[in-house]
Amino acid sequence: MNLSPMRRRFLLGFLFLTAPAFADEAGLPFDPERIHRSSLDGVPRSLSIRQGEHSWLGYDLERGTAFTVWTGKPGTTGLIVDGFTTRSQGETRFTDSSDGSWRLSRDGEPVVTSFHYLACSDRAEAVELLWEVRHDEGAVRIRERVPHRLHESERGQVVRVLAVAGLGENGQLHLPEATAGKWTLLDAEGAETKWVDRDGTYRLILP
Amino acid sequence: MTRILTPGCLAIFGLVAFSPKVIPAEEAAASRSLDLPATMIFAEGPNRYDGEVLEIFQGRGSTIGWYVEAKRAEPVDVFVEYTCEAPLNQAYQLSFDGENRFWEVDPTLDESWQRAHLGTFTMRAGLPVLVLLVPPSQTKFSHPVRFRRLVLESETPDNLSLSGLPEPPVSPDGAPGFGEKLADLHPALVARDLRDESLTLRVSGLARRGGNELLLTTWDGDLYALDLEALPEAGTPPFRLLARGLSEPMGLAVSGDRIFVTEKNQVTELIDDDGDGRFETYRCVSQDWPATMDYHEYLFGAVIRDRHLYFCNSVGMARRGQDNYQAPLRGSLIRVDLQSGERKILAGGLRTPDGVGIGNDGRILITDNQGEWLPANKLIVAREGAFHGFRSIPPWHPLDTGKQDPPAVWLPQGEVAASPTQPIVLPESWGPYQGHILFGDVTYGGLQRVVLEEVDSVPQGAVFRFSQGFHHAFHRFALTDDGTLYAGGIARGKDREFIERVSGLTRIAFTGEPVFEPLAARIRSNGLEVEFTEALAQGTGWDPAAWHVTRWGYQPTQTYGGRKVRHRLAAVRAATVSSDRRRVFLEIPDLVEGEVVHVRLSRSLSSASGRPLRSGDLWYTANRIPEDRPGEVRPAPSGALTAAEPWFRFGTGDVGEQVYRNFCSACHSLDGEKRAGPTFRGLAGSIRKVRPDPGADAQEIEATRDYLHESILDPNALLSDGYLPNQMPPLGDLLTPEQIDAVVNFLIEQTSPR
Repeated sequence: MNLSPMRRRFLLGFLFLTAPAFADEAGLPFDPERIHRSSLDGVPRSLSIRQGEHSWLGYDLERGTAFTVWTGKPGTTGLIVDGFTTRSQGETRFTDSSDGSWRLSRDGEPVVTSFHYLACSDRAEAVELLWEVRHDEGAVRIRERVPHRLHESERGQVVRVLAVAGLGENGQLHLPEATAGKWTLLDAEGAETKWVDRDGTYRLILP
Repeated sequence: MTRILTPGCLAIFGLVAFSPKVIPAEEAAASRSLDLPATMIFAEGPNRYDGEVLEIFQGRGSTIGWYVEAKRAEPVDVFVEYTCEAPLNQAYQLSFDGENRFWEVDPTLDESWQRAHLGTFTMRAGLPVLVLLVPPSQTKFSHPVRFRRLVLESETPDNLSLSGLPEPPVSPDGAPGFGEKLADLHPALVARDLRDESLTLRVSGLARRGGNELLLTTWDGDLYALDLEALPEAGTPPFRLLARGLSEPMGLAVSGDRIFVTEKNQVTELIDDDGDGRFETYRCVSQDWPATMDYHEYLFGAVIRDRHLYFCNSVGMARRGQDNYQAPLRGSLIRVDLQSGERKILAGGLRTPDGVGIGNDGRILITDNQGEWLPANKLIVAREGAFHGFRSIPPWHPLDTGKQDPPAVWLPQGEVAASPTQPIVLPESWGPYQGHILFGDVTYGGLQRVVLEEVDSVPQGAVFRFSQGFHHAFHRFALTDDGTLYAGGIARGKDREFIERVSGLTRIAFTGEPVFEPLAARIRSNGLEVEFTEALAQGTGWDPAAWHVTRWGYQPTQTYGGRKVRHRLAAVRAATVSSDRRRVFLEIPDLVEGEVVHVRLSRSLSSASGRPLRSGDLWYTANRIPEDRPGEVRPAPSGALTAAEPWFRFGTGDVGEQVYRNFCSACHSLDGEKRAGPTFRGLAGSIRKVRPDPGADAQEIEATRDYLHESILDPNALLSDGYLPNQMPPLGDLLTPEQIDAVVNFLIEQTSPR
């Protein structure tokens, strides 16, 4: 079979990327090579998700946000495991050392909320994180998908897909401040937006 | 050097109790003041004297305490005379008969002596009261607190006097099961090691799913299933990996088809979203309590009752030497609604509550491990709102009102427990042991047995040794419907060979084989009743001299462990055997509430069927003494008080060996076998690599008598290379100087080149 150099590279890349996901010894979800649920970089409740070959996202489960994104050096896993702790290793592309979380406003006025981590699902195409922003009248649910692999056009980027539900009329969901400063938020039509102002799907992209 | 007060106890076997020698207060103080000089403490630990002044550089391992007596009860003011050139990072504790004050040590401007008022306490009359001045645990100071004396002031002249330290009663010679750990499997048990050589199963959670499936979590974060119907009678068990990626799971519970795991920082439900047998979703049921990066913060156990999950969270250890900070709500019994995740703190003051179970009456049972604020291990019957004593620094736990709920049963360190694990209630198929509680121990090993009762609605009871002789150190248990007990083992430490040997799964079946041993103990207004599994031989049991009874209390402090308080002989005035010869009532005058009563039985006792006694110790915790339950005292039949041989022998056994077996052998072998600590093989005179602290360069030192002494008193001072600090407790507070000398002699003798 003759393959063009580009197609060969694509196939090899695809095989490499999918290998850890589907060729592990038991084929079970939550392979620590791709999702590590131990404390990362000094954040007690955190987990690490690998995207693509070398990209990692570190989530603070109490704040509901990615607090670090890094690229592991080729030839390394990018994650050093030591007992119940892990450390990111490689080039840091984003970091949020604040204590900021999602903020909710209604008609422009801040709403008192509490933030809750509900679940992590390891599915065939993506890792899903489920968050809930609770307030006095109900709750906003954020289902966040971190694709295992990236589309060819997204190489070099880090992509998170958000599905927001329960926002209600006149509600606005604001990204954690550090995230808003570095990530680009796109609505379902691909238009850039500053905040979430209606239920639906959004994409967060770290260039 | 260790300084000890003059022995003052009339330790005359069979006669008495506590009669301490009284040391008169200074004549000048013949009025209202009593000095407690620094030179008369129990043990200075790693600290040193400068003349009559004790310079305290380090808290761990020292015992600064005195016994004081009063003729009448009255308030007493306590003062301390000291100098201290710079502030300390933590407070001293003054423990006065169990009542605590914390002393923030004000620096003194120069070397002039200062006098600080530490508080006013209620002095009771009668029994001696223990006064302890306790430095912060785990802390070394570049500058010492220079301490000269405590001064007690009372209203009534000549009311107070300083007592000598009562010398602990001499124990009868030991043998396995009699003053020593058992050496073998209980005759009524059959155990099978369910080993898969390709797997290292450090079992951290164990539960049944459906009728015939056993689930287990491992310390390494995996979930396995074992189909019990497919379990072959020999060969490798068919363990099946179900899930992975769990974070230090330490508890597992199943409700119908739902699986819940207590991980390091959250309660998790494993969900198979699409029915393909794989758990794609890890639902966070709750993480509603603070967490830090402390290695010792765990969630222990998991039991389900009424749609709620019950578990405990442990306290941190990493900052004990720094500032003793604990994240809020650590050391709690927690209840979480399985559906809503709503969390409630039910009890506080726990330390390392590894074991959580459900008792006969549905109440939650907890075991907790000896250490700071826990002078011994505990079995606790949980009560909502209770506080169990572990304290850190303010802000206190919300349930910490300064008062402590006692454990249902104290589990004395080294004698019957060291790191107790999950308690489990035995079913009807276990015959005479039905309703009894078994628990494991990852240091002491084996299985121990507890029998509870209630007095005035307060739970209490006795603990008995039950069985050794297993491959594994048991951590978690699950029972099948037919009464088969599955026991999961886990190993401490980092030695791979040891981990692989001690971890794993054991199947234990009860055969009903008759055994002669003490079955239960029950408190009476005037003593203790001991029940046996079989009738005593005709005419035996009546002689009070056949029962060696001692008693003591505990006084929790902020330093590791604790000595027995007022450890003394208890007089057995009479022993009365029941008409069926299954029970013996021991008349013991003046039982004291809150104390442990230890009964050593004579090995000469035998059953009517001629079976010898298998084990001969029980420890009863007398939280309450009933007023309306007198035991019956009857005169002994003629000839029943005559023994051809002494019931006990004293002094012919090797005390050092006994101490080694009870306190050292769980972690240190004599023959090179790998255990949690370094082996003692070839120890004496060998060159050891040690470190003053984990970060320091290793240095070589000869294992001399002094080195052994120091390592027993302060194990952190010269850490064996490759071992972490705080893995071994200082034993200076648990053992007498004579016992330490004896075990050092034993080790020198056993490990010298031959």
